Amino acid sequence: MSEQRFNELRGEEVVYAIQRQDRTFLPSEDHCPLCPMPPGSPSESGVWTEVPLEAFEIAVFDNLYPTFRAPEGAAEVIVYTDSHHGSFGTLAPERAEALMWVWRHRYQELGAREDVQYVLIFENRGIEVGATLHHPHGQIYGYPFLPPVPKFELAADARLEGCAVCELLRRELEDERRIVHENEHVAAYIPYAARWPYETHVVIRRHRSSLLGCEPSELRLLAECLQRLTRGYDALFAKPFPYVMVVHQAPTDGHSDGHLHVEFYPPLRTATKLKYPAGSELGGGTFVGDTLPEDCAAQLREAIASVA
Amino acid sequence: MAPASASPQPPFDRSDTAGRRGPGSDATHREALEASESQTVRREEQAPHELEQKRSEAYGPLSVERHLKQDGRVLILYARRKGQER
Repeated sequence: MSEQRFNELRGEEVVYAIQRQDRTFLPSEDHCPLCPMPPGSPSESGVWTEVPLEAFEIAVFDNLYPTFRAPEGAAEVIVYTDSHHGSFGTLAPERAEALMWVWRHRYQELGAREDVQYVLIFENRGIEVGATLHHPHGQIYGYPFLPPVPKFELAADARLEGCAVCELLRRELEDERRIVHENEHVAAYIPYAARWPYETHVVIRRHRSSLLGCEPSELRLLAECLQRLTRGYDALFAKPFPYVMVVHQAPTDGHSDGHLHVEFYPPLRTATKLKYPAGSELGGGTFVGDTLPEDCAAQLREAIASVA
Repeated sequence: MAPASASPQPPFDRSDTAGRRGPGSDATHREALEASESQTVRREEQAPHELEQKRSEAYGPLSVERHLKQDGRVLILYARRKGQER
């Protein structure tokens, strides 16, 4: 079991999941635990997979190396496809849309649990951000407490006297310079005060607390926008673009609000250089940027358009 | 918590979602799944490689099949239902 300790100096929880130290680390394709069984493989062949079927569309399972586990939270893995290759951006549009429904279902089921206060759906793409499996997949944590970032968002709501995401979206749409893509239901932009050079927020235009409040057409266009963005990222430097993708929704504590949006935190600042959180970022808590969001947005907008 | 004026929508409502656990219950998600066996829509012979299918249902355009792995962990398979293609 994991151990949770409260860091008094920072006023935040720290979780120790020491069983994760031995988790599978960058296996080759023929040892990938997220691939399906090779056709015709007998069960005694020694081929081990988390999804012991010859084919599947989307699979979700309890993480073998969980950070959280019932009755003190949850940790799940979402496998986007049975193909070892590709990425979220290269999924068929119908599969990406189906994934939105899976996210929604997992938010609903995990959020209904008394031991889950916050459902965090995320993807770590690339070894630069710590991914340990190459197979296209994401993860879900069901936190038994409310973590700092959603607390920051609730504080922003209070500071702006309303939904902060609604207000920031309004400002970005008015300014226009940092918008990188938009459709009828969704807008994507690099925020005015982005912390990462190509950090992008993908926001549902109407105030939706979570995926549960979305119409089917909104889920479809959310998937469309996310895929456009991730393909644009790959086109930006003509190589797979590492990122952390996080779905932000209302806490599931039964009384807090939120505004559904998806944030991307890519670590690259050029094709070959990473932005490291270092002295100022870690020690002072202040990000220092080498680029302006407006300039990065212009590059990213062009990259997205080039692969439309 | 955001001011009430922030949204016309109610926040996450646990009373209106599947898989709800009663207050004070110490049942885990997996136990709840096992308890739902009585509501099994379809139960098949054990799937290949020791997967035990527990129940099958629909969610939006998706079919949802729940299985128990040999080690007791839950595996859920999602697929687009026939006739739900765009």
